[in-house]
Amino acid sequence: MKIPTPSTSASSSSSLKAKFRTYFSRASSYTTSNYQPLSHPASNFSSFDDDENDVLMIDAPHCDEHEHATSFNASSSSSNKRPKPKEMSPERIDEGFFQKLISEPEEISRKIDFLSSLPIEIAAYIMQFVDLPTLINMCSVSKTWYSMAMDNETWKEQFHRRQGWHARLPPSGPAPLDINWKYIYRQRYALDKRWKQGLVDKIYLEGHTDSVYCIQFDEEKIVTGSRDRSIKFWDIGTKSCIRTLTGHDASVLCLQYDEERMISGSSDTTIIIWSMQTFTPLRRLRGHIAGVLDICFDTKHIVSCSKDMYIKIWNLHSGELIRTLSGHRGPVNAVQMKNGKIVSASGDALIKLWDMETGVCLREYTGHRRGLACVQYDGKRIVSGSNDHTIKIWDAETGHCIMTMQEHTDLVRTLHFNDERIVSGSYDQSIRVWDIKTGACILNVESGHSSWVFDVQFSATKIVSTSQDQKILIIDFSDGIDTRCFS
Amino acid sequence: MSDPANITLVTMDGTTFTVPSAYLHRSKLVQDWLRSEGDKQAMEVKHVTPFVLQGVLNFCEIHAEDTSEPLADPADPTKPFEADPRDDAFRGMPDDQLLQFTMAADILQIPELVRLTAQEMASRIDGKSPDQIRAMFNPDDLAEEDVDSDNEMGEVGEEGAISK
Repeated sequence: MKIPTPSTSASSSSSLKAKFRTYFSRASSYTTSNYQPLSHPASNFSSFDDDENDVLMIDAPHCDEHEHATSFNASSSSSNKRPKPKEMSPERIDEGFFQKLISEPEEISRKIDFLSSLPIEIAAYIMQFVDLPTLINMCSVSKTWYSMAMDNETWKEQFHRRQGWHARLPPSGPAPLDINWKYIYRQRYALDKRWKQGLVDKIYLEGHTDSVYCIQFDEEKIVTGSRDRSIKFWDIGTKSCIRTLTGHDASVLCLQYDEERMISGSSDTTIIIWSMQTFTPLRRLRGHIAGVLDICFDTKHIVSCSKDMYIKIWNLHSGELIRTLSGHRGPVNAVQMKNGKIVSASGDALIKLWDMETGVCLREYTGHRRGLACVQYDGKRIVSGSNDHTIKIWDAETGHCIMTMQEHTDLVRTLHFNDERIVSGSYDQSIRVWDIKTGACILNVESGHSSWVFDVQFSATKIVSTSQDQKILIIDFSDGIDTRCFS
Repeated sequence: MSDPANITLVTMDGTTFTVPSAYLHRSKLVQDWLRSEGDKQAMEVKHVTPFVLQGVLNFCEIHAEDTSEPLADPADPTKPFEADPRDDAFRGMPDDQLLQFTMAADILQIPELVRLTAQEMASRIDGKSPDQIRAMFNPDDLAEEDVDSDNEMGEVGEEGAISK
C-alpha cells in the first residue's frame, strides 16, 4: 500500500469539487492527501456550492480515483485502521449511515435543530452570545429550547455578560450549583431599571452642624467628615449616628478608611491616622503648610495634596515623609493613586500623572479651561471634573480626552466612577448619573440638596452624597429588591 | 513513521488530508494525539466529513501564523471576540453547514473555531422571533426523542434506528 504523501499534492486532484462529488457518489477514499491549501483556486470551502461543472465533473475521466486503487473503509470495522487496497464496491454504500454526516448543503433536505444536535455545553456556549430578548424568545420555540434557555448555567452566563455586573456570593451561602442565577439576574435587572428610571427613596442623615465635606461608606456604615471638625459614623441600617470622632482643629476635608485604619485630612494642615479598632488617633502627620484637600492610601503609602500646591507621599506605617511632588501652580484639589502612579488635579486647570517611585511628572492632561475640583483614576482611565462645568474622560496612556460631558451648570465638585457609570455632584446642587460608555446623562437628581454638593460615592444599590446644606443624602435604588449579592 | 513536519488526518470514510503539523497547533485533540500516538501513520477523525475537515484545515492554515496566545477556553472573558475578515467564509455559510463546523471544531477541540462558529450561530439567532427561529431550525417538541434516536443511530449506524 502507499503511505500518504506528505505533500498536499495538487497533482493528485484535478478538482477538489470533483473529488468531493466523487466521494459522495462513490464513497471511495484516497491514499494521497486531499488537502487543498489556500493557494489552490478551488480550495476556499465556501466555494463548494453546487454548479453545473461540478456535476459534469463527477464522471470526468481525469479524476484520479481510478488510478489509486483505494480502500473503502467508511463502513468497514474500526479494527482495520490502515487504508488497504480493495475493490471499490459502490453497492456497499450505506446511505442511511451518511445521512447525518454528508455536509454539502444540497444533500440535506431538513433543517437541523442545533440545540438538539450539538453537545450541550456548545449549545449553552452559543446561548451566551444571544441577547436577553432573544433568549426569552427562545423559550417559546420548543420544549428543548425552553429547557436550554431556562438552564441555570445560561442565566449565569447572561449575568456575567452584562457590563459591570458583579455578584458577591456569600461565602457561607449555598453551593455554587444551587445558586439560582435567574433569580439573581432578575434582581439585578430590576436594580438597573431603578437606576435608569430614577425610582428612588431619598433618606437624609442629619447631625453635622456645618457643611459635610467628605464621605465613604460600605455595607454597614457611612463615615463623614465635616466643617464642624468632627468625623461621624452612621449605621446604614438604622440611619443613626453611632460614633463621633474629634481631633482635627479645623474642617475635615477628606478621609479614607479600610478595616484597620482611617486617614483624614484637614484645613488645620495635618493628617490624622486613626485606628478603626479603637477609633483613636494613632499618629498625626505634619508637613503641609495649608489645608489638606485630598488623601488616599494603599498598603504602603499615604498620598496627600494641599492648597499649598504640593503633593506629599508618606510611609503609611512609620508616618515618615518620603517625597514631595511639586509642579502644580495652583492648589491641588484631588489626588488618586494606582499601580505606582499618582494622578493629581489642580486649580491650575491641569491634571498630572506622576511616578511614585521617582517623583517624576510623566504626563499632563490639558483641555479643561478652568480649575479642576475632582479626579478619579483606575489605572487606565482618568475622569475629571472642573470649574468649566464639564466632566472629561481621558485615556491615561495616550493623554487623549475621550469624552466631554457638559450638562452641569456650575463647578463639578465631586465624582465617582466604575465600569458602568459616573456619578457627579456639582455646585449647581444636582447629582447626575452618566453612562461611562456613551457619555449620556441617565439620571439627574436636582432636588436632593439645597446647596453645593461636596462629595459623592456610590455602590450597586445606592448613591450617598454630602453637601454644604449639612445633610447627608442616601439615594437608595434597592427597595424591595434582594440585593444580598450586590455591593 | 510519519513525517514529523506533517500530519495526516483520515476522515471516517478514509479520505486523507496531509497538512503541516503547525497548522493544527491550536487543536487540543491533535496535540494530544501527537504526544501519545504520533508515531502512527495517520490520525482518524471520526464524525467529520471531508468537506468539513477541508474547511477546518483551511481555517487552521489561515490562522497558522497568528501570534495571539492560544485560547484555553472559548469562553475566556478576558479575551473578547473580534471578527476577523479572514473568516468571512463562515458568515455566508448555510446554517446546517455552520452547525457541522461547530461540531467539528468541538471534536477537534479548537477553541478559536468553537468561538467563531458559536458567535456566528448566535448572531443568526439574535433578534429573531420564536417563529423565525422555528423557521430557521425547524425544531419540534419531540426534540428530546430525536436526540435519543440520533445517539442510537450513531452507535448502530443504521437508518432503521431513526424510524423508531
